[in-house]
Order: sequence, then structure tokens, then C-alpha cells
Amino acid sequence: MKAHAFSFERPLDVAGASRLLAEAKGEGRVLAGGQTLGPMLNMRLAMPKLIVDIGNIAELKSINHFSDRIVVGACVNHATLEDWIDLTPLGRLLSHAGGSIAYRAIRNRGTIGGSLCHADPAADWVTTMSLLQASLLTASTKGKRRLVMSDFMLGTYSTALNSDEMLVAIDIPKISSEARWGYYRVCRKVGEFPEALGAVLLDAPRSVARVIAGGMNGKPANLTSISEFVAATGKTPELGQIESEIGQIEPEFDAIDLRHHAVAVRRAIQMALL
Amino acid sequence: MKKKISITINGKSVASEIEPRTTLADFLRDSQRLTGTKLGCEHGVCGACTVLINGTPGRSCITFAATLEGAEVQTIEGFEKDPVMEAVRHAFHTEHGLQCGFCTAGMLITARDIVRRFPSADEKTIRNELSGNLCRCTGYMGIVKAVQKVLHEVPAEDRVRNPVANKAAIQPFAFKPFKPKADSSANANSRPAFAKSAGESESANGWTRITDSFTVARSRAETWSLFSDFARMASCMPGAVLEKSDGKNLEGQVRVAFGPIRAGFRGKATVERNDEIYKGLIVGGGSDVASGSRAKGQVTYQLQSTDNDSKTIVNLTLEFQLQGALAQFSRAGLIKDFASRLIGAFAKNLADELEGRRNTRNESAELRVSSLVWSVLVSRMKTLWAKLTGAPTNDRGGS
Repeated sequence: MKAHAFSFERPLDVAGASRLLAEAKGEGRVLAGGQTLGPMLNMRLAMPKLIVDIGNIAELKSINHFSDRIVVGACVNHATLEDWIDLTPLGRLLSHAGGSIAYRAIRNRGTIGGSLCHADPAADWVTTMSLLQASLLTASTKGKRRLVMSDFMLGTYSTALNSDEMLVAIDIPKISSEARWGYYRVCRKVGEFPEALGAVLLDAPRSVARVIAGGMNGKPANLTSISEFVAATGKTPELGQIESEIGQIEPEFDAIDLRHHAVAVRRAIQMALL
Repeated sequence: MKKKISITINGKSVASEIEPRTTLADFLRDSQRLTGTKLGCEHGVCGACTVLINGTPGRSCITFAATLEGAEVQTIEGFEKDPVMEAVRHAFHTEHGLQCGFCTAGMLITARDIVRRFPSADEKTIRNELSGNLCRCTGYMGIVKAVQKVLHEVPAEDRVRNPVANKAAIQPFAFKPFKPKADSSANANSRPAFAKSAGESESANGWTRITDSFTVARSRAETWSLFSDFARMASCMPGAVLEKSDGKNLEGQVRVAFGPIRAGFRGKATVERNDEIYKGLIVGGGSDVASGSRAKGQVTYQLQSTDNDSKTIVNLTLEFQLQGALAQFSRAGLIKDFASRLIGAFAKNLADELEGRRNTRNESAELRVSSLVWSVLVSRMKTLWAKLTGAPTNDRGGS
């Protein structure tokens, strides 16, 4: 339970970190809050030659507000978002999702960017950023890129980031002040990765209705026929209706998987319609 | 490779030279002799190692000391003059909040954090907030009572700003139906094509089975000749290196990348082929020494000609079982997702190889296909293999 020996660098800016990653030629790994990579290093599941600690880069810790969006630095930790005193629907959603992750001691150090880059399908930010269709801003020595969440995550533990590329910030479009949302995790023990996640956004002024099933075998699923139904009727669909759409997207799910996911989605819809 | 660090520990500045892999917990216990901090799970789950890092609780077992240059750390030994901790300590004593004491340092630090953040916490909040600290003696009753007892004793100046209590967005207005615009992110559902075409996939007793089929624009005989050339076939498997082959017995390795995990399964496989019915079976197994993981499995392939033998349908079935650290780390569905991606990449490479689209020296395009970057493997006798794409923890070593 002790990590293998690795080289360690702690750059002061994104340019320095990008250079180190480029020089490492795929043998480097970015460490942000270390709440996932730390355990994996301890268990020797991950054994990179070089760790690039980006926890000391000030520009990655800022949150910038614009009229139509907020831009959250990759190294903003979960607890900062959890404690965010902002009573807008978006502020409450980020606070709720951030506060759902693991335990406070983990949330004090774990970062939103680290969570998105690790791309565990059951991660709260993966589901939430899919719900909000956030864009992810990346940097490498070759330049910057902007990727929408649905293009960023490719599958389990797999993102569109190249090995010399790092996530810099998450650009979240603001939802309107009349927007409704719901969020539900099916979870056996507080703080664990959930078996299933449901997230719902009903934003009538922006004509956006989105229902996301998270904790799938790969990327989150966007349940378009369910979201259209909910927006058009204001009713909570039956479990069977939700199971049928999830089953089409994930044919491998058995009856128990389907029920877990349908319940998460249904309860999130109920919460949004309250 | 040692790093110089300076950290303030319990108010005293400490400068030291450490290996980057030294965790804060080991640094505290071994170099600073601050053994009040305990190590339980060493992967951030049990909470025994919880200390304050820059004023907030953090896990010292998964935090590397090198990341804390300039930080302030407070361990259980550093709370002598803290009035809140004094009250918490006293309450743990009177309410029987401890038995063996192993979790207690972490419990006290977490309890202090709870009473400062939630001055009016109910039992549910306390239990939720305590969920990251495990106690195997008390059954938590005494601990919860101790926290409740202290709640009202925390002076206002020791409280931290209380976050918004109710995060749920309950709207004061009734919901009005609306017609949403088409969702630009609807294609978020698109699974890799091969995952969809995988008609069948099931798991039982630790075995996972994935089937896939694809069509190539080549005759069956031509396609079969590729399936008889193991070196070419192995070159289509992301991360695979064939080291020995006598036409029946194969030896080699498969490198897989699963997020930050990389494993190299070295193993052997045997091949059974039936040229009459264009069917083959590869059975093998291998192990990854570094992660202590083992895999075994088999691939069945069968060719079917179609369109007057101008095309061939290739039916592939992969069955595998994974044991050890990699299997324990992951949830079953995730490994299946990966194995499907691996089979999909293999299928695509095979089709490209047969139809002459493949250039083994320039595969950067494929890198983008699934972006699991397969790092480079220098095998002693082989040239550099820059391989990519792919998926992981699969299996049947060998080929």
C-alpha cells in the first residue's frame, strides 16, 4: 500500500505544466486533488514515471462569472462548490452535486477537473456537466481546445484528452432563474459511488429539457424521449417508460440495473417537478 | 530524486528532504514521530488518518507530502489549546465515543469540523457527515451523542459560515409545460458502433462474454489467410505483442490502459483451427505481475462468405475472466465497456488491415478514435511499438 517511486514536479503555471507533460511523452500523469490518483498510486494500480502536481497553479483555482456563463477552474475543489452561497438554480445545483461527492475530507481536496478527467461514469460532476452541457477548456503545448462534455468523455475512464493535454477550466452555461432541476443518486452507503444517477433540467425560458441517466457502463445517457414527455406534460413517467429508453441505450443492463437507473431518473424528475 | 519541502506542523515550521511518494501520514508518523495520526485503509475510505490541512480536514494517507509545500498541517497532537476540540474530547469521554481508540484521532477532527459547520445539525446530518470515518467498536451511538452534546457549546466565533441549508430548488410557481428545442447533446448517447453491434454480452460467475461481428470487402479465403497469420492478427490487437509462435502455441503480451492504470499481461495461448469450416479458437491466459492481476479467456472466430464471396462476415466471441487487483478495483460493467471497446478496435483494425487501409507506422488517427493512449512498449527484441487505442483489463493474455 505504498506508491512506487516517481518523479515529481510542481509547476507554477499552465504553460509549465503543459511543457512537462509534452516532455514526458505519455509517461506523465496530472495530479490535481489526488483523491482518486492518490489511492490508485498507493495500490500501485497506477505507476506513472512522472507526477505533475497542478495544485499550485493559481489560475486553475478561480471562478469567473459572466452574464451568460460561469467558468470554473479545473482545480476548484468540491467543497468550494458545495459551500457556494448562491441561491440561483445553478448555484444550488452545483452546491447539491458537489456536496454529494464522497466525504467532506475528500471534498476539501478533490477537484472538479480531476473528477471529469478521471471520467468515472458514476462521478457526480460527469453527470452534472452532461446535464448542463458544459464545455471543457484544455491546454497543451500545441494550443488550446474547447470540447463540449458529450465529446469530452468517450467512455469509462476515457476522455478526448491527449496524453500531453490538461483540463484548464469548465465553462458552464447559466440556466435561467426559473429553471427547475432534480438530482438523485441510488447509493447503498453515503459517500460511495452511486449505482445509478438521475439528473433533470427543465428550463422553460431557454426551451431546454434534459434528462440524464448517469452511472451507466460508459458515458451518461441523454434520455430525449423522456425529457420531451416531461416538458410537454409536466408529469412523472412510469418506471417502465424510463426503463425502456435506458434499455435501448444500454442493452446489456439486466432487470436490476434497469430498475436502479429508472428509479434514480424518476426521483430526479419528481424533485424537478416539485 | 528527493524533494525539499517546508511545512508548518502544529504551528512549527518543519523543513525536510523527502521522496515524492512519501504520504503526509508517513511523513508525520515516521519522520516527525507524530503517531497520533493512524493509518487504516490507506486509500482514503476509513478516515483514521484525517488531519487538518490548511484548516480543513483532509486524508493524510492519500496526500503526498510533496504537494504540501508551504501548507499548514494540524494533527491530533496540535489541538491542546483549541476550545472546540477540548469540548469534543470531553464529550467523547463522557458519552463513550471510543473504545479501542484507533479511529479516534480522525473522529475527533471530523467531529470538530461538524460542530463548527453545522451548529444546528440533527442526527441525520451528523451521521451523514460522519460517514467518511469508520469505527468498528462503538456502533457510532456514543460518537453521535458526543457530537450532539457539543453542538450547543460552540461559541459563535468558532463557527464557520454555514452553507445554504436546503439545496433543493423548490419553485414557488406551478410547472408550465413547454416544448423543448432539439438537444444538441442528444448524440451523447452514441455508443461506439461496435458496442451496439455487440448483439450479446453477458456475465456469469466472473466470466464476461462479448460477441461482435463485422463485414469486410474481401473473399473468405483471403480473410482466412489473415486469421492464419498470427503476427498480422496480433498487430491488429491494440497493445499486443506476439513474441513467439509456432503456428499453434503463442506467447506474448498485451498492454492495456484503463484510465491511469496500465497493465502488461504476459501469457501463453494455444490455437485450434478448422480450415474446413473457417473456424478457430484461441485459448489462453496471462498475468500482470505489477498489479497482481490474472486473466484467462478465449476468442472464437468464424468466417461466413456473403455476396458471392466478395465479402466476408467475421463473427467474434470473446469470453474472459479477470482476477486480482484490477478486477477488484473496477465495477463489472466498466470492464465490459472496456472489453467491448477493445474488441471494437481489434475489429476495426482487422478490417482496415484486410482492405489495405492500415498503415502501422502512422496510427495517430486511431489514437483519436478512443483516446485510451497505449503507451509505448519497448520490447527487447522488437522495435518500438507505438500503439494506441483501446481498452483495458481484458484479458486472455497471450496473443
